[in-house]
Amino acid sequence: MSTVDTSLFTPELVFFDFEATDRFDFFSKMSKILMEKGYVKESWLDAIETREKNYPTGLAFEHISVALPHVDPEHLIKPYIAVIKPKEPVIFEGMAGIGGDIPAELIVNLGLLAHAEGQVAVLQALMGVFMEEETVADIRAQTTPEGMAETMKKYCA
Amino acid sequence: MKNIILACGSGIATSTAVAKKVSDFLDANGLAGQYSITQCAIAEAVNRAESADLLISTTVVPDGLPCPYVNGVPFLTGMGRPAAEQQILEILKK
Repeated sequence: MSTVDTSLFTPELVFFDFEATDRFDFFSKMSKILMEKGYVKESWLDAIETREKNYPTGLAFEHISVALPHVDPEHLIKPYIAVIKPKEPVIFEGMAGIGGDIPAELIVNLGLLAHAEGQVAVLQALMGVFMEEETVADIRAQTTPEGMAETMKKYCA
Repeated sequence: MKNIILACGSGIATSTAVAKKVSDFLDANGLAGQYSITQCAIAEAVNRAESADLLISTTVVPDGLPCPYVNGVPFLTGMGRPAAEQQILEILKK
C-alpha cells in the first residue's frame, strides 16, 4: 500500500459548528470558502451537487455517520482534505442506496487528484479510522482545528 | 478465472478502497490466483459486466445487469460485511 499523504490535512480547512440547513447550503458555503482559499475552481459547486446526486456519499459506520463528498479533479486547483463538524447533522443520501438518509455528524470533503496514489490511500485509511470505536471517540473529542488536523494525520499515517 | 468488476462513481476512489478489502478476503478464503479484479466507473460497468462473473459497486447499479451484483458499501463501513462476504463466496463458487 502506498504511503498516505497526510499533509493534505490542514487546520485551515477544519471547521467546527459549521452551520448549514441542508447539504446544498453546505456545498454553497464550502464553495465560497474553498474558492477564497484557492483550492477549487468556480465549477466545483455545480460539480459536487451533481456528483452527490448521482453518487451519494453518506456512510453509516457503527459509531459515527459521515459523508465524504468529492468531485473529479478537473474542478480542483490544488489537492486538499477539509474536515467539517456541522453544528447539527447534515442529511446526505446513503452511498449505493444503503441506509437511506444519513445524518452526517462529520463531513470529510476529499479534494483528491486522481492519479496520486497517496491520496487514494487517505480514503482507505479514513475507512479504518471510522470503523474503530476508540479513534472515533478521539475525533469526536477534538475542539480545535490544530487538534483535529493532528488527530487525522496521526490515525491516517 | 473469475472476472470481478469493481465500480464506483469514477472508478478511482471508493472502488480502490473496496478492491483491497475484497482481495484480502478472497485470498484468505483460498481463492488467491483464481480471480481478477477490474476497477471502473459505474457508467462503463454495464458493458463490462457482459463478460463478468460478479459486479461489486459502491453506487446504485442500473437495472438489467447481465451478471450478479453485490453492494460494496459494507466493505467500507464494516456494517453488514459478513453477509456481503457470504454473498460473494456463493456467487464465485457457482
